[in-house]
Amino acid sequence: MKSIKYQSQSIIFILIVLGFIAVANFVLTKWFVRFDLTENKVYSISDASKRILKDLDDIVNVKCYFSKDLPPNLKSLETDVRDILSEYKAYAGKNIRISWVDPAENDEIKSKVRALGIPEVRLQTFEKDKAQVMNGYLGIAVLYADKKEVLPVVQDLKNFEYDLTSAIMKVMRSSVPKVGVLKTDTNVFIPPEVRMKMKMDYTDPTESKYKPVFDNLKENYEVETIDITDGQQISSDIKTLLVLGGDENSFSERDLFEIDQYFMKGGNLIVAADAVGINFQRGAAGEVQNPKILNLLEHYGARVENNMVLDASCGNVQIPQKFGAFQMNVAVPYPYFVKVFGEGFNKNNPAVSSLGELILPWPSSVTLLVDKADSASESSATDEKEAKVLVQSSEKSWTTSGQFNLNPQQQWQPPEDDLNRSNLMVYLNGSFESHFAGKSIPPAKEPDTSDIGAEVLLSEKDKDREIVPQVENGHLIIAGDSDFLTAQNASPGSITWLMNVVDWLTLDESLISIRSRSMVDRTIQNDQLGEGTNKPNVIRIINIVLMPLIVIIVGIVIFFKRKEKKAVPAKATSSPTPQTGAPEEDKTKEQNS
Amino acid sequence: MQNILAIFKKEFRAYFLSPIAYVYITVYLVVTNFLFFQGFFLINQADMRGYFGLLPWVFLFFIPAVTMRTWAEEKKLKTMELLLTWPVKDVDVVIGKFLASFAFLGIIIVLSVTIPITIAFLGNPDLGPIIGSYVGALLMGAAYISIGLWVSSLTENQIVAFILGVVVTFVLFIIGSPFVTMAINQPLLVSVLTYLGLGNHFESIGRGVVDSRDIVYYFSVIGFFLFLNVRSIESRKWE
Repeated sequence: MKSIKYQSQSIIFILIVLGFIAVANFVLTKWFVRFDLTENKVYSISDASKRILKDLDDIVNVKCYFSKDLPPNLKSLETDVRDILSEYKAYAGKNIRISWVDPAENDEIKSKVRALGIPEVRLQTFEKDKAQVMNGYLGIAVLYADKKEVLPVVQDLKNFEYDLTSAIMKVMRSSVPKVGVLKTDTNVFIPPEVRMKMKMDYTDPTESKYKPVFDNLKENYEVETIDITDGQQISSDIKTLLVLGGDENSFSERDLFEIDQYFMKGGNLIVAADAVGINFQRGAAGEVQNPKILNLLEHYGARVENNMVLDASCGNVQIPQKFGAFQMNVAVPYPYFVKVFGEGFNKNNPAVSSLGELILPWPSSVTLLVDKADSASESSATDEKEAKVLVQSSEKSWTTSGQFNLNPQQQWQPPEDDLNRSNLMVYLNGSFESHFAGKSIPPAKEPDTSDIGAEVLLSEKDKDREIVPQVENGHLIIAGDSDFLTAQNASPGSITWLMNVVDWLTLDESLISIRSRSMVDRTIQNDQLGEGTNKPNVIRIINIVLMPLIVIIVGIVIFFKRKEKKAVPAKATSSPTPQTGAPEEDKTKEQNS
Repeated sequence: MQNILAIFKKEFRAYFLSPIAYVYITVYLVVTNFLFFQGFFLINQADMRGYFGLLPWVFLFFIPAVTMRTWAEEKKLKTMELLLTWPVKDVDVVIGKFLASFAFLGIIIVLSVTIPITIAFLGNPDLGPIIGSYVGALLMGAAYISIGLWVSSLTENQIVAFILGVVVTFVLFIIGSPFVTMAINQPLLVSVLTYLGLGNHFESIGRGVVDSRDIVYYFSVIGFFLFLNVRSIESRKWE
């Protein structure tokens, strides 16, 4: 009787304890802390993302279209994505809704996914040393109201956080940011009134020269062509200003002043400057042209050199060649078309780290005049300037200056002992001083030399204008080439570059601080093993045998020591600690053995 | 505290006084290292993923083998009554025995140190996941031990204790694995089962992320089965 009563009491007690543990576990799943021990903090999200997520004021849907039967190597990617999303969930709370769908479930979802812009991709997997190919989905759609942003294929975690956070920001923003492109073709500029009078077709020369830039930016931004030829101010509504190309006549002192003041007021600046211009009128010839904007850039901390970079890693040009009676175009490598890939892109910068390939025709190198920031260190101390190289030429590149022989049919003679990487694009960040601090405001119109005695007067507006002397946290990107963005030369790579850097600077100040996760090579170094040696087997055997051997030796030593002790009267060593069955057990075992 | 320490010392010494322990350790090391190095040079990655991937399965058989005799033998040799007449609380005995098994496991885990050394020599491993995996292995092992100890307290037959231990840990391991959760179409149940599964939390720590939830989970499992263990010891008094 007692026993039954005890048992039922006991079961109730156990259930109470179990319930308590369950409640405690449930509560503690809501309140948790995580420590990321990985070297590159692969599973942590940045403070910028955390803040953006906490500030969400409505529900964002994150739909993950992942195939269920992913191969093992991608399965772990899926778990990583799930983990990072749960990190997002932890900070956004109810304002983020995450769902997982396998598009293969039915055709309706499949077509919906296709409409979203998520492709079915071929996935390669290694199973039992055999490569296998299957089709599957690895896409994510971020949806809010009627807006959508898509990460078509999640390949790795390198840029995942940056991509996802910027997608969330893009769907949540209430207005489309403005991006300006400065009119730089002043020498061929015909005033709109004249065009109107002459019934000329109004296509802006800047816009037609950089058509792909305009076309692509218009998909995400409100794009304005900025005309400052009459000394107009550049509105602070423009989040990012692109200054593309231009020659020695393109920039007046006043133009530089307006650009400088726009930058001082906190606008982001992207300058693609050609120190050396290519003139196609007399074949192709390179001419040093020194557009005045270079002075401004030099003042800010980077100099675009009067040189050209040549690279063994390069694009091709088509050259007509005769084969007997036939003439054919043959692709010939052309070192003036610097091809950047892999190591050439800064791996810590989300704007360029994921770029595959970028071809820069006739680029000049960019010299940093401020200390280069350690690319691995955290950014950014606002009271100081720091510089980062975004794009570099390969190790097998060299520069040339003075006379430029652009002929593709020549014997290239790279200087064997002077091959070096050149900086092709840099990013400067921090506090900048105005080029015009302490100076007077340049007049809007250049003094007209034909009208003798005409006084240069500042307009009424300019008299009250104050020069902004400094910007605390400016962002400036400088490329030593603008040809890669022109309608003739733009490639998918250069468009991706453009969209990435504009997104990067324009979306949000805090997104700039999200860094790409650098993927460290963790493979076994083969030179340690050597070709054809049996070192792997030696390592294998040492690992399998060494420790067990030590254990066995220790065991034998202890066994014999105890045997010696047994010879001494056993009673003497017995201690007053509580005795349980163990001693007897030892005896029985030892007798058996 | 003093009592726990005394019991811990006695139990721990007992492990190393019997030759069986050395056989265990040797077999364990040879088996795990052999299995790990089977694929190591093929996968060509300087990490210990493969090694720690084996552990839940190796522990499944290895740990019940370590814990099976702890209570069962006391019962069989009738030293249980003797033990419980000592002025020691049951809780202390249970904790002491648990700590002894845990320390034994700790030593075995430490003996795998040749592998991280080899890997550091051959490549550039990320230490975070390796440290995380070791912490996870200790926690998971401790959970297995507490289950094994409780099972051992239910019977006086070591073989029965071993088999029961394997079965119980296997069930707790398998319910959270994709093998089971894939077959269930109930999201809430799936998330509960995933949480309950012994292996998932180990994987989570093994990636190099120490999450308070995983630690809470393992301490809950350890605590609950040690509590059951105390109850089952106490119940002897009522028979």
